[in-house]
Amino acid sequence: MDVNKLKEQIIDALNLEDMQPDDIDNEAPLFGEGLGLDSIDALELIVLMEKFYGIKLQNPAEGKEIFKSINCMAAYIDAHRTK
Amino acid sequence: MITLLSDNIISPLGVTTAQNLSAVRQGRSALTEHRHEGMPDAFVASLFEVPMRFEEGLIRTIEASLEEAQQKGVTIHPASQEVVFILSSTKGNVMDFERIGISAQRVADHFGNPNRPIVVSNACISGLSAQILAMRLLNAGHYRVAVVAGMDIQSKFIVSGFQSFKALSPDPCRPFDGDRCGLNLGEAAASIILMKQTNPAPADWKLKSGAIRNDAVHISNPSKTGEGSYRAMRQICREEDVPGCISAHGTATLYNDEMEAAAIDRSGFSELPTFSLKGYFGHTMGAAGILESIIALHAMEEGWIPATKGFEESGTRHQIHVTHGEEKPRNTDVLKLMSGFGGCNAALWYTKSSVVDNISLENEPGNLSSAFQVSLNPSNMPQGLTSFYRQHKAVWGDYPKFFKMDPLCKLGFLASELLLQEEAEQSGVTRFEPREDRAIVIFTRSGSMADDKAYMETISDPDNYFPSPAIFVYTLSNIVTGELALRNAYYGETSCFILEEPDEATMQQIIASSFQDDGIQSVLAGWLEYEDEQHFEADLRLYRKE
Repeated sequence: MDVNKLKEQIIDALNLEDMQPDDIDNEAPLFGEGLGLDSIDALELIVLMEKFYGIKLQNPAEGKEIFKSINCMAAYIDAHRTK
Repeated sequence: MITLLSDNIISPLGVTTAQNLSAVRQGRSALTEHRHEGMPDAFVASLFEVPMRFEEGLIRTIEASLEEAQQKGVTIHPASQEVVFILSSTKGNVMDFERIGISAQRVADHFGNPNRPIVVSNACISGLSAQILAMRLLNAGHYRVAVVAGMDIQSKFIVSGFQSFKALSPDPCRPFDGDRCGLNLGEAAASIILMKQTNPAPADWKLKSGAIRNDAVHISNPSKTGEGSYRAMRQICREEDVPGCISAHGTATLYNDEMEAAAIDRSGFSELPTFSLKGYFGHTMGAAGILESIIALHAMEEGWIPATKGFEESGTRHQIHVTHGEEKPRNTDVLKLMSGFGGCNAALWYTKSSVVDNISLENEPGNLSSAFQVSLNPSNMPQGLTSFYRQHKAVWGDYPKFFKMDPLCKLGFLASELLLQEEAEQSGVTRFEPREDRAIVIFTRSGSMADDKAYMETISDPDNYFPSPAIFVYTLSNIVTGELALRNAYYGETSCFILEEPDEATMQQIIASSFQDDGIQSVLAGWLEYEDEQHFEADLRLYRKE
């Protein structure tokens, strides 16, 4: 999948103003130290996956593994996308 | 002393307090599966069979309370200047995009009340905030009687918002249980009438004390250590007295119940019978603090502590005594807890004993004067909120959270930053030092209406239905107080009131009354209103105790 596009979607959905796709390291953790995202951001990422890739995540706890890094998220989307 | 004169609950379980009380005793619940038009998923909630309009519910419950007072031999003239209307709601008529203040005015007009109605919009703790405000205003002698009523409608707006937070349980909720997996929403209208009396009868319920504290940790996640709830309890439970029971918030979300158990344990109340009423009524939001207080008081009056419907086996890290079945109280005192989005927490104490009020009027300043003031409006900030933020970054440094905020929060952030920076420079106060002695009190007309519209766009098209949790959270007007508490590490009270006009006299009464909480030494307060980039106004001031 287009990782750059995914980054753009994340920047837009999470209002990461002043950030460019290149500023986000594909391997760095999205939560905690990385981008400093929080639990509401995690819920927004779930919405993002449903909206653009048709992936419905019922249990938000699953997000923990999926949103480890951009690469993790991209791999999950590749494997589960319905659109 | 402030006494409870009469009360009423209208819920799917009954239209009188007695009917609702007996439903609880019999273990009945109206929680069942529902569907809203235009929403893909079903949900479990306690809803009125025939939809009840916001104002209709408020008027009916207030009429019932007035009538009960009459039956007790006390005639309340709602058209009197001695009576104040305090209404509690988180979202009012949000589906109509109507300001809550307009609805409130219609309710007050229905009863011919001459005073401006005050709407408390403090997320889920609104019902307790409203009682605390009533207690303070009556204490100060501004009014003799307070009519306190709360209601919320579980519209598509609210239900989809909680769904987007993955906070709803697909089954009837199970407060404090190991298998709990979320809350159920509920509809109800509830009211109480409070009165100031010099020599109350021993049988009268007295509102002994109440306090509000903030977690200062996150705008939606409760504190893991139960920080604000613990601090609110500590503020009002300072004597040897132990209540007979705790009526907990107990929403049955993983995090709320964990937080509450931690706070109750920390307060030394882990042995006290604690119950949640959410398994009977669901979470009735603006009505909850009032409804749950009423049930607790009447049950204690009859000598029983309600069972926690849905609770089987303890599922919180901190062990507390959650009621399985009905229990007998050791004394009739009730400690009521609520917590809500924006990090706010409230604790309220009702008693039958004729103890002296915990709250001292001496703390309330006779004349209120502000030490610092900041006003922002389109004429001194024509560039708009975001450009202003960028241009003056030197003042606040890098605060990426700013871009996530709704306009009301952005406005509050900018004005408070300028104000607190000025305080730091002129009085040598160190910024960001954690403190509990400062309250945040915000007044607004439209609240988060700009955000309401943005959220509605995410749910109005069934083919493009993606409710946004990040937008929904900001549709609660009090989130701005939570943002300021979080930014500045203020654990003190946070309150949000909706007024149709920035009526100086009413605002001053409320601000001054915040000092009745003797843990509060200063109040960051004022008017915040945002319609669009051409129409907004911030007028924040810092009040200190002389």
